[in-house]
Amino acid sequence: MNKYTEHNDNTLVDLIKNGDISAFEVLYDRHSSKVFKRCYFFCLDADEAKDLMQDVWIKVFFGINGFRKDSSFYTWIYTITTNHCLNQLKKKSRSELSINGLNMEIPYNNGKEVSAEVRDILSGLAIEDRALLVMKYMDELTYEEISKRLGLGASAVKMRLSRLIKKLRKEVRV
Amino acid sequence: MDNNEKIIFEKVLDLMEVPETDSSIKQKIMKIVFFLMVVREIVVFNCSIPGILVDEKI
Repeated sequence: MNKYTEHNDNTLVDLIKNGDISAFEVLYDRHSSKVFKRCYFFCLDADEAKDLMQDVWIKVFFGINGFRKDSSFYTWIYTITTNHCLNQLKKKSRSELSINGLNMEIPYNNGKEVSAEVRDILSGLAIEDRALLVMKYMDELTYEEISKRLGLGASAVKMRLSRLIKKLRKEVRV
Repeated sequence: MDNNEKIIFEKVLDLMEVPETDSSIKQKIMKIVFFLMVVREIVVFNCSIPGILVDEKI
């Protein structure tokens, strides 16, 4: 067992700033499954999600000296995760768009590991729509916070989310 | 937040069957971070050398 397991996130951040890699490992163990879940929700492919997660943790390492504790560590890392996934997958869909010359509303995944039912639902969603769902229901941001991050109006965010939930409700039959 | 909305989203997540991360990815990330930490220490040390030399002259 790691000697820092009982320490809170902010203490671990201070230890990492002083070059203690054991503290980084504890943060990893604490948050990696949620980071991975977010990555997977975006790309629907385990290997790609692992690559995205790796990038996120490297960004965390490079950015940790700039983390000022204005927000909690988990808010900070989940924001990095969502932004990174969104940017990477936008880039990817743009490059695929230029290769294929197709109108890419449906992105990139081959969906090998996702159950068929949910694959059909999620693969039909645009990247921004997935980001909206992650920000609202995983990161639990307000409509105003989401609108700031995505550069959309709060009412547009609300409407888009309501439309998405309606669509999901119909598909998963809750 | 509408609790029902959250339930719908959770149901979608359940259906996704998100795979567990294996230990190999953790090992890989920790190796990269360790390497970057060592590189950073070396860079910091090298950058401090001119300061050390100046101090010695004084």
